[in-house]
Amino acid sequence: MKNFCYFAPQDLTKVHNLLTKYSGKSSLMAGGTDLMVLIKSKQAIPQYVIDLKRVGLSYIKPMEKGLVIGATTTLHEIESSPLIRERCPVLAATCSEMASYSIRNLGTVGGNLCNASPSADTAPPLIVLGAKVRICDPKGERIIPLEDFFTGPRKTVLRPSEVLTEIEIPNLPSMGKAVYLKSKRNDGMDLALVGVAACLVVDSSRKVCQEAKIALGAVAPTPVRALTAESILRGKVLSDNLIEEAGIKAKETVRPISDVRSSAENRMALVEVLVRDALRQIRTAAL
Amino acid sequence: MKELDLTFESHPIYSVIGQSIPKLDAMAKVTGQAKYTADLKLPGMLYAKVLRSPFPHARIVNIDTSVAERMIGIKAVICHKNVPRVAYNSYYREPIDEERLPADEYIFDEKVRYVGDKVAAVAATSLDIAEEALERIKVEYEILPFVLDPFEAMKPEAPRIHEVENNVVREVEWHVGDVEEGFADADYIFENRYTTQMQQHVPLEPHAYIAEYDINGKLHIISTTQGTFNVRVLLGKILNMPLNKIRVTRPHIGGGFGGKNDLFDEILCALLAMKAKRPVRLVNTREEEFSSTRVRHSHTIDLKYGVKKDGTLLAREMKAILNTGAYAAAGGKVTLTTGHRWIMLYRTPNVHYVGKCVYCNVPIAAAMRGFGTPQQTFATESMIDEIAEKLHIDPVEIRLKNHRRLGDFDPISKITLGSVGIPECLNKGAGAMNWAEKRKVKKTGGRYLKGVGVALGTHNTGVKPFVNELSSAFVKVNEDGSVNVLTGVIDLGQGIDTVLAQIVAEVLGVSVEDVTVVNPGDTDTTPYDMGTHSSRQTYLGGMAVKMAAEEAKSQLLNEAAKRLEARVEDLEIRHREIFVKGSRSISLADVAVGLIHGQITHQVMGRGSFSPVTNAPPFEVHFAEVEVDTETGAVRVTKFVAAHDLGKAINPLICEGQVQGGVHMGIGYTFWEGIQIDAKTGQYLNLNLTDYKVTSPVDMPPVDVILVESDEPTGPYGAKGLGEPAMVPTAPAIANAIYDAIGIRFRQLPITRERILEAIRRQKMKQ
Repeated sequence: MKNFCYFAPQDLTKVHNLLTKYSGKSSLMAGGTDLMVLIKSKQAIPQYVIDLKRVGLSYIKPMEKGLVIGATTTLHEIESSPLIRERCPVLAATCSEMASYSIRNLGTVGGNLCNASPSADTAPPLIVLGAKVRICDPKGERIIPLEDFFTGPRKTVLRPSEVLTEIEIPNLPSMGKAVYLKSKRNDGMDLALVGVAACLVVDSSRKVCQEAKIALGAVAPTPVRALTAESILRGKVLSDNLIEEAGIKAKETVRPISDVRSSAENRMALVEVLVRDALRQIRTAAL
Repeated sequence: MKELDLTFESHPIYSVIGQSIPKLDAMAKVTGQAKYTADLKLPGMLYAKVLRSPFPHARIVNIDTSVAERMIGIKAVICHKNVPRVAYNSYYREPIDEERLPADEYIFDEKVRYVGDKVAAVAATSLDIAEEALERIKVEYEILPFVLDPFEAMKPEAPRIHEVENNVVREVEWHVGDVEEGFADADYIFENRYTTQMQQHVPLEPHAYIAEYDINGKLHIISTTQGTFNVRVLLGKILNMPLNKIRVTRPHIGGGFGGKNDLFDEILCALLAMKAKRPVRLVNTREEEFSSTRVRHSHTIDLKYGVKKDGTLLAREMKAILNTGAYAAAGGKVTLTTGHRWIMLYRTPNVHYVGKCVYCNVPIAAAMRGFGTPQQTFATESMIDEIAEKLHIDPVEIRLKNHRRLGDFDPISKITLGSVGIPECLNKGAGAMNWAEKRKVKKTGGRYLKGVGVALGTHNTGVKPFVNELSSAFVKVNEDGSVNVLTGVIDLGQGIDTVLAQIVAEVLGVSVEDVTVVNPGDTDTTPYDMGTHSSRQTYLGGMAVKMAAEEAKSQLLNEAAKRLEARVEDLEIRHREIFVKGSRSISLADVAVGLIHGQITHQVMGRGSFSPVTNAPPFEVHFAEVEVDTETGAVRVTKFVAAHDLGKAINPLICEGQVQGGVHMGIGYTFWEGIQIDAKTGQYLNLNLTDYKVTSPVDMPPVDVILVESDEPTGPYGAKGLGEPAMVPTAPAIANAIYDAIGIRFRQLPITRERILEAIRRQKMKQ
């Protein structure tokens, strides 16, 4: 591992100053569970590492019509937060399925998003929930939908001077339900071969799906929406046939890669099954 | 936590043997107090790194270390230009190995033969400097064609990795009876090919070494080795040093599984320390553990079985091709055991085995828990299941019908079996699995399907009769009656130190707390031991300390007889007290102190040297129950029963731990472990624990451990081996259970979820 200079600034202004001063030579670090692996394997060789953990971005707060989570909130804090468990159970469940206990104690939601791995577990559920991210630079801030945040593997819209500070999650509509399912090589800790998040608004009296969002992880350079599958669900009764069709549509619209973890064919097969399973689970919970 | 289910019956006459005593070093280990090699730091110590080949096969045209040598903080740089050129085999143990094991390795060679092969090494004042120095060593390679597959490697046009024909390291062939006659008489012939993958040991503790070379010319090596004396003898040969000038010690060891048997980079560490005149420490990264230590041979096994209608085996034929990697190491011996254990397990009049061990440009395959047996057991126990199904015979029944019996003669090793607990393992295991009921359940469709499977296995206790072997010990009694044991037996974490203490305590009539097995093991102070491998240490080390303790005991009893005015044969020791049977007594401490500080002084010390005359094969049966999600391919082991004939459980708690660990490793072997190699480039794809999956705690089913005590007549208190057998039949038991669940036969390991799902898709397309 190459040595680097480590900073732990205590406010965002100092973070921005350091980012400006060491532009192109520095890496931001939250939990470090991705960055340190990259540094050790020399895939990243920053001269300066700027730790965000003391900036004060670790919090979970209710806001009007939703929740806000600070970027350096750990995965364990999220999975064990009563507020998240009550208002956003899908996110608590997602985080509890990630990595190991010790890694969840370090790894953060902001880090998981900014690392921008195609298989990042927190991305698909946050996308289907309509989450937005707050991004700050020295001149101000912008808020964008998380869906527009990713541009490629390990690539995001973040400019070198920018820091992701918060994730805002709107409340689900009263009849909304969301799930995240992930396929792994074993039952222990593993990266998602395929991750499927679905969020439906179901009119339980008529069994009709009013609104549908499906996001898929690990099947494209970024998390992607399964738009065709969503569109065939809207306004329809959630029958077995419809659910099967949605699974097939989702499969048909993805072009995953083959790698050491899985072949593309396997990923496609799993997309179909997981979409189907996710929709069935929501139907069971809703009706 | 499950209550221990120990179905053995404890022997009423023993006080310590058969007791479930927790490992004596457990507290030190769980609190972090126990020190391992990588924890140790000597004054002035340097940090070493090894430059490793990025190519699967290349000639080193030029190597320029001058820039690295000039770096501040660099104290020594070595490469093929400045080290002795001595050929050796890293598995060498004894003079006869000169003939048996090809000496095809050098400290550094002018050729590299696999990705991860050693090219140069540096020692620096910090690890960072050492790493940077590696980047500044300029190596000019002439890239050579490479071969990854043993079938390709045997073709005449294949690149030659060493100067041997067709890259074949060794061929082993055995005939018993006449297989062709057997096949002619058979009612049915079965033929199939099975393949297994390149598993790695993945010990929690990576290989680590410290070398110190002092002003008197004494070399001290601290190593994570499974065999201190093996390291010493090889260093002596390579460095041309007398053995008394080399001291090899080992502190606590965090798992070996066969992967720490050989001489590794101790030699590089030694040369760096000699050159730098300072102690040097080298610790492997996890990536180096995968690429540059040892792996399990990947086998391709062609089987042909001839059977009668009633399931009697008439003829068996195995043709095994072993990928042994870039250097021979123990590959030839694995080729031998692959065939031998297979021939031994079942009665069959006609058998033919051909095994070929082949060089390829991949990591070196050598010893790993089971030494060829898990590979062939996956093949052959899957085959037995296929035969049983075709003949409509219960899988337990067909094994009961054909297995070797007590007193049977093994045609290859020429030994007579002195203890065989196979029927008890099969019957008790079947009972615990509720086998008969579960087999009857019809698989009626649906998404989640369950099935049960069984497999039988054997292996060895030590290496006799193919190799002569020795374990030895000194037992000395202190002036208060407590005892120190000096032995070269190495505890790898499995708990042998505790077992040896129990044996010594039993003999001397003291408690386990009164016995210290001296740790760290030290070639300067302990007598010779061949190392901890081959499931040999309870049997060999146990017998050595028993003999030593008995000699010490006779010295104590002779003195006590004088003091008590009694005959030696009327004396017994219990609870640190020597009794004249049924009457007066004297304390062990009084006798010991009297001997050490009396008028005529004498150190109470016993010596034990045990070289067995036979082998005592252990036997084991695993039963697995699985549930398969037919939509995702996700498979789970829902229940597991492991019944082991281990002769005698000296410490049932530790035995259960061994079996649990073996099943854990066996589950990984079945489902996900294996180094993946890119066929186009020869590069490894998963040298990390993200993508080389090992079994995680949540993947472990509850394991019912059944210990069957068949009382081996040649073992200490009836004991024989257990460590390796613990994972031998796991994979075929699970593969057979998967077949029972979904009707698909997997003949290739690992049986990943992806392969299951793909097979289910193909099955559906056929329907």
